Amino acid sequence: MSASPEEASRKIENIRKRLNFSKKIYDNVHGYIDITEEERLVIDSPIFQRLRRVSHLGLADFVYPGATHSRFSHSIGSLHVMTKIAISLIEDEILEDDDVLELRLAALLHDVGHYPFSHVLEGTMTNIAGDSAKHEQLGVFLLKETSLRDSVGKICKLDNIIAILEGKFREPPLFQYLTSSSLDVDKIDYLQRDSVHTGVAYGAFDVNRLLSCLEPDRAEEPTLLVVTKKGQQAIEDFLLGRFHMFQSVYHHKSVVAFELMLDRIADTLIRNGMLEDLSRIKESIQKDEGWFGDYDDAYVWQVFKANKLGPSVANQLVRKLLSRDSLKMADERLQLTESLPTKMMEELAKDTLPSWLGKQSGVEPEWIFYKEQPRVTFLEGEPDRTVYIRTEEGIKPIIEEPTSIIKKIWESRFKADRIYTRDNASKAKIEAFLKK
Amino acid sequence: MAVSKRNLASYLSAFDLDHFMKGFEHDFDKRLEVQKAIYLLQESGANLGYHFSWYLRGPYSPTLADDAYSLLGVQMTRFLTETEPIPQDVMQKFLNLMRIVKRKSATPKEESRWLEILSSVHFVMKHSYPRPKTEDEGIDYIARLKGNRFSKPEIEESYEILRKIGFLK
Repeated sequence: MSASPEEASRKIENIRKRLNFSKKIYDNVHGYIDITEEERLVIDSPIFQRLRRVSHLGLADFVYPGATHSRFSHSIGSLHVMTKIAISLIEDEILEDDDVLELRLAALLHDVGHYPFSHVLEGTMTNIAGDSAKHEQLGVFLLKETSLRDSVGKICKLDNIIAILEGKFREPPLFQYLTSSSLDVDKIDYLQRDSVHTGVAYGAFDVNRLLSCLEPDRAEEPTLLVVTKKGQQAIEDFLLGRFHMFQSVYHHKSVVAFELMLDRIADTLIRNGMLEDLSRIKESIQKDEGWFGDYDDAYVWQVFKANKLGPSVANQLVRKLLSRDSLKMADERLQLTESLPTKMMEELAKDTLPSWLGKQSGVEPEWIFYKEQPRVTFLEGEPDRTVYIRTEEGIKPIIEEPTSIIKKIWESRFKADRIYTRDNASKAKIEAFLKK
Repeated sequence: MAVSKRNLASYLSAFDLDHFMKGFEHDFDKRLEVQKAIYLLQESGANLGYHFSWYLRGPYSPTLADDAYSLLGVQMTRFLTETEPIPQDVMQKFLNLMRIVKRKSATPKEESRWLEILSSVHFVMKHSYPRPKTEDEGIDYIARLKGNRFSKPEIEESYEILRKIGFLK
């Protein structure tokens, strides 16, 4: 049973008093964002300030020059979105005041373990070390091993924040939905933010409408977060916008080319001990957490420039990257399909493609790069991660709502397979061979 | 190729689990089976490196979902020679569990149910936070969360199975 309007306003007033905001940060996406004194201490720590110097979109600014925003502004924005949703859930007596404190902090810290260049270097690290190198795991390590432990401990129970970030928090499962699902606060913030900074309008959606149309459903245990029927167009716009942002920004052929170059350079440097791997990162933090404050985009550029790889491909890629001379795309297969997308390459063949194609086309194999983008879907169909909508017949996943466009398209997957090479001359050789 | 994907392919073929992948693409139950079976396989000691989070239907790994999609249609036996050999004790422990699942399931749907409840009981008892202080507390929690699909005796039985074959102490 929801609270009466008077009771709801009293609760919101209470939580504002409890939070005791002391500062405001002006954000170009959401406007003023209130923070507490204790949160300010977390934000002002060198480990969090480092996020100012970690680009949110890797090397997307090589194509969209405005995309220079950072993980810092996204983290503050996520705290804001989380607060808006959490306060409405307090109104409905789903959450308690303490839950809001924890959820705000979890949103603020969800990216604190991001590597320089965000998902680009994270991809390199996880390729080498698996899930243990994911930024969420490094974030948990920082919370356990650095002074963040004390500043977070002053606000709430540290173990609760760690469990939320690790996805192991037992109750309520709603926390997990808010922090990792098709409609989590991370996505609500980054879509708007990336759209504003790239200038690509597809990511824009009516966030106020969407947030005002979210409500809990307590008919069954556990509580679900659902979108009301009035919010159907807002949620569809959000899901379609995300899909189009993948096509036009995150998987843009030139963005992918630059990020592929960065990945190859970083991979070579890590394997040659010139750039820290996961275990060296952790050791360095344990020796001196100040080191991690300097582990940012500029640090990696510095290592790239100072590398001692001699006349290697990686070194040449560094020079190319510094002068924005991208790899050239020699072949591209784009598919939007409901069935299993055709595989351009078998998993094993991907490893042998450079030598085979090199032999056939006359291009040096070390200058042939195959890149398969992960599948992009409109939303995840898994019950825990999908979007629910309230209709006259009751609550159902949006993929089962006959009046929703998402029902028609949700199983479509966008897939991009591409081959890149060194320059236009090599590209011409590969194209000539593939035409045969 | 990522280390996890290579190991996953190798283990799937070693345990003859390729059948989980048939129909995976359009069948939620199949995807659920893959998630839960691989979770239990990893908990048997297999070196797969997936991080599982707690969701309403039990442990789930987004990386595993991505890897499984990308392995669809791939000849996975080819990876067997490329990865480190699977330790005998891991193989035995997991096969013991799967034998029980098969014995208790008359239909594929029931197999999914058992995998879900076994992996959920295991996750709550071993990895969830706050960790249940007693067996009863854990069982009551799962009964509250999954009471509409699993009876309390089924949850208790799952706990016993996991304890008996060494997944829980």
